[in-house]
Formats: sequence, C-alpha cells, structure tokens
Amino acid sequence: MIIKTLGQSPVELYIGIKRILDLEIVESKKKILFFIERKLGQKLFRPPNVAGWPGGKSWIDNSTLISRMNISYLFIMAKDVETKGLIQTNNNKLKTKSINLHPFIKEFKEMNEKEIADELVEYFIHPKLNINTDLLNSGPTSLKKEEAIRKIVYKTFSIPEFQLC
Amino acid sequence: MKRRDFIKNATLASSAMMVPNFLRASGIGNVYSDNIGKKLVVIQLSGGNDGLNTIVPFEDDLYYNARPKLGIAKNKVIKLNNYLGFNPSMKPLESIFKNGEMSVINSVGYPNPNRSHFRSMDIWETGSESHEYLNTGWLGRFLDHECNGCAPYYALDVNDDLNIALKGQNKNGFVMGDTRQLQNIINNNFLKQLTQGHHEEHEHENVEYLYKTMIDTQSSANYLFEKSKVHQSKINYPRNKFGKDLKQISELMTAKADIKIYYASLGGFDTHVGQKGRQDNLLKIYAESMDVFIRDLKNNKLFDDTLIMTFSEFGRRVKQNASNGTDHGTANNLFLVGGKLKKSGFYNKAPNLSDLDNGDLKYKIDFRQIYSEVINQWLDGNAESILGQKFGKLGIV
Repeated sequence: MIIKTLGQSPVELYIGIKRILDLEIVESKKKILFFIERKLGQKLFRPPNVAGWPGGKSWIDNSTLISRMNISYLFIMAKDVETKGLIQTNNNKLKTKSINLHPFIKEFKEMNEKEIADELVEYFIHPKLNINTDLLNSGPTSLKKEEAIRKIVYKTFSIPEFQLC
Repeated sequence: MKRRDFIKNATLASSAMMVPNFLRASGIGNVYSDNIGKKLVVIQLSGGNDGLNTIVPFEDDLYYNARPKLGIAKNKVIKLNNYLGFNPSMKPLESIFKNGEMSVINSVGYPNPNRSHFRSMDIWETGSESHEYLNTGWLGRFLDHECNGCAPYYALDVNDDLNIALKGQNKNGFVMGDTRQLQNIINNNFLKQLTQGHHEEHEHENVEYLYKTMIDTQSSANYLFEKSKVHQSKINYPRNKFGKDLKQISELMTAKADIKIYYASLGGFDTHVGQKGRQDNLLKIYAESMDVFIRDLKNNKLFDDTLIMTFSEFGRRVKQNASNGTDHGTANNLFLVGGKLKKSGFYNKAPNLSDLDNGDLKYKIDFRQIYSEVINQWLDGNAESILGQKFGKLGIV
C-alpha cells in the first residue's frame, strides 16, 4: 500500500506539473516565482527558519489550497492569463506560452473523453476510490478535441487528490 | 429573520451547496454564536517603522543630535505631554489619544534582537524567543487551544496570503483579500461538483483534510460575502488598500460576523533612503484610515468591544544614516487603541537615548507580555499555554 502524504511542497508541485506536461515557460519567470512564493506560500531560499519548511499540512490553508488547485489552469488553459479572479491577487498577469499538448493528444487520439479521463485518473490520482470521472469530461461537446483534452487534463490536475501525488 | 434561517437561505441561494454529513459534525452548517463579544484587530506595520519619528521626544537634544536632518522640529510635533509628541502625520489620532482611547507602550522588543526583517517578523508573528524557531503563530496557537467548534473564519486575515501569526498546528486563520474576488473564485461549477460529489473516506486522512479545507473555504466565502453586503459604511474611508481593508473589517463587524480576530497590515516602512516623505506619507495613510475606522466603530457602538493593536517588527537605529534614512534597529513603540482601555496615554517613559546598546534602543517590555495581556484579558484565553511562559499583567486591557 502506498501511503500518501501532503509532503509535496509548492516547488515540487510546480516542477511535477512542468515535467508531466513538458512545459516551457517563456515569459514572466518572476511572476511564476511570485506565484509560488506568495500564492502557494514557499519563499524560495528563505525558509521560515533554520529548521526548513515544516511541510505537510502546513502548506495548506484556504488560500494556498485554491491556488494549488488552480496552478495547472494557468499552464494548461491559459495563453495570457489574467490571474485576477482566478487567484486572490491584484493586477498580476501571468503569461505563459501556449502549451503544446500534441504528444498528449496523439496518445489519446483513439479514445473518447470518458476513456481519457479514466486513463488520466488511473495514472495520476491516488487514492482514486472516490473520483467520479464524469466530472472531468462534462464540458460542452462542441469543443475541439484538443480543447477538450486540455480541459480534462486541467481538471484532473485540480482534484485535491492530485495534491497528494 | 433569524440567523439560522439566514444561513439556510444563503446556502440555498448559492446553488444549494450540499454539505456532507460528516462535515456538519465538524462545524460546517452549524450556527455559531450570534454574539462574538470582544474583537481584536491586529495591524502590522511591515518593514520596521521608525518609532522615534512616530512618537517624537521633542525635548531631547540627543534625538536632534542623532538626527540633524531627519529630526522633527519641536514646533512641528503634535505635543501629547511635555516631552513626547506625534509625528505631524499622526494628527488624526490626536483626539483619540487625548480622549484616553489610545495607549502607547514605549521600548517594546525582546532580548537579543534580530535585525533581519524576516527573522524579526517571524519572532513577532510566532511569539518565539530570539533563538527559538516555531512553526505556528501566536494567534494560530490561540485557535488551537481555545477554539472548539469555531467557524473557519474566526480569525480573518484581510491580506492575500495567510500570515504565520494565524497558523496553528491544527487550525488556521482564514485569508480573504476581497470578499467579491474570493466569491468569484469559489463560484466555480467544477469546484462545487467536486465537493458535492465527495464522500468521506476515513482511511485517507489527508484527502479528507483537503476536502474539508475546500468545503470550509466555499461555505466561508459564501458566508463572508453575504455578511459583507449587510451593511455599507456611511463614512468615506481613504481610497487606498489599507483604508479599504479597515472598511471591510468594519462592515463585517457591523454585520455581526462571527469573527473574533482580524489581521491587517500596511507595508513599506523600510526607510533606509529618503525617509522623511515616505514615512510621513505612510503614517498619514495609517492615521487617517484609523481615524475613520474608529469613528465608524463608534457610530455602530462597536468601539467598546474592540481592541486594536499596532506593531512593527522593529524600530530603527537612533542615528540617521548618510542617505537621510535610518537603518534597522531594535525596540519600538506599540499602540493599543480601544474604547475600554484601563490605562491610556503613555504607559511608560520615553526611551533613554543616553543608555543605548551599540547605538540601539534597549527594550524594556517584552512584546509577549503584551500578547499575554491581550490573550488573558481580552480574548479570555490562557496565555501561558499559548506563549509557553507566564508574563505579568500590564493593566492596560
């Protein structure tokens, strides 16, 4: 049995998503640092004290949890994201390069949305006893396949359980 | 309308967010006490406010010698007694001081002071010793110790991110920079569906913790949004972030929100260079907003039940530097404001500028003694268990 902890720090979370998606951030590195430091609560190279970050539950409060759930939205859905309204901050724009999801899309070409959602959950989410994968593909059907997949990926990465991976 | 009905309606109105049964047991959906009683507002002046140019010792030659350019001329100082007075920017608070609604405590600090902003803030926020490192804040531990069945927003931070002061081991304060913004974030169908479709899983404690935090956030956002609409302040607040924060606090208080502790901050006090205009401007923002806030509270008969504590992580060195600014110092003054202070005016003497520690003020009162006073006398908590040691009474609160 795999014991899941809340040990994933904001930086690990960010790097994890970046790796999974093979993400290239071309603009506003500072803004991403700002996002990690302020919205996710980890000031880089500046732990609260010599003991380091306490980790675990201490990463989670009402603000950081929502930001953690939204971080993938920033990368997956947005080309020029105005963070206002999405995260609690004023006048901060976070620009990221439009993410190239072609490798993903190729992988999923033969599947329908339900199968894609099941596959992503199977791969990324543990424990998954409770996940209703219908939630992940309930978007409007008129979306292009790529948009639909983007949406499924974003939603999968937003599930609280993803925080434990 | 009864409060219970109000909450029911509010919940229904926000698209019937269903609360799983196990969460009802843990407080969500409960009706919290209608009368929160005494309230605490903490205001943090970040960056290290220069206390000597805030409360000016206008009869002390040593002050003017140390600050040939920065010293505030005697005829400009707003005199509060025959030795100490306000920076002219603090003018709006003069009548509050003279009415006995403000207590100024001089030379507040701690042994072996640290001059790093981050470390000194950390010490103040966690309430630790200078050599000690804590992961929880003093008010967070108050929540841990004293808060059984409190609302998730019992301690509210009106900034964008949660101050460590409000982080406990098991309980946290609630962050809400702006009610409407938070509401917008939370009013997301996907988030709603996630929580509605969630069933409890006892064996996955961490998953439950995340869902509980999320559900708390949703219900709190709705509650605070509804509460913030109940009452609109009739007085005009200064049009800046700090004024807006105090306005939000006042409106929530007036709406009788179940919030015991509010935490606000005003930054930018790190005046190494060209201090004069910058500090004056910040103190003006502080004093003007406070003045309106206090009048607003008085109009709504809330001032007697409110205690406002203003602190900064350190004061600044006595001597000005070569850039017409001041560098990081040590002890500083702290303000307590409220309608029911037992002792007002200057609690103790002005700092002795002829008895310095390597050019810095010596602390006379441990900041944790003030925390202890606030916890024991105002919040009805047990300061000793929260601060880890016993401090004597000050007799102010």
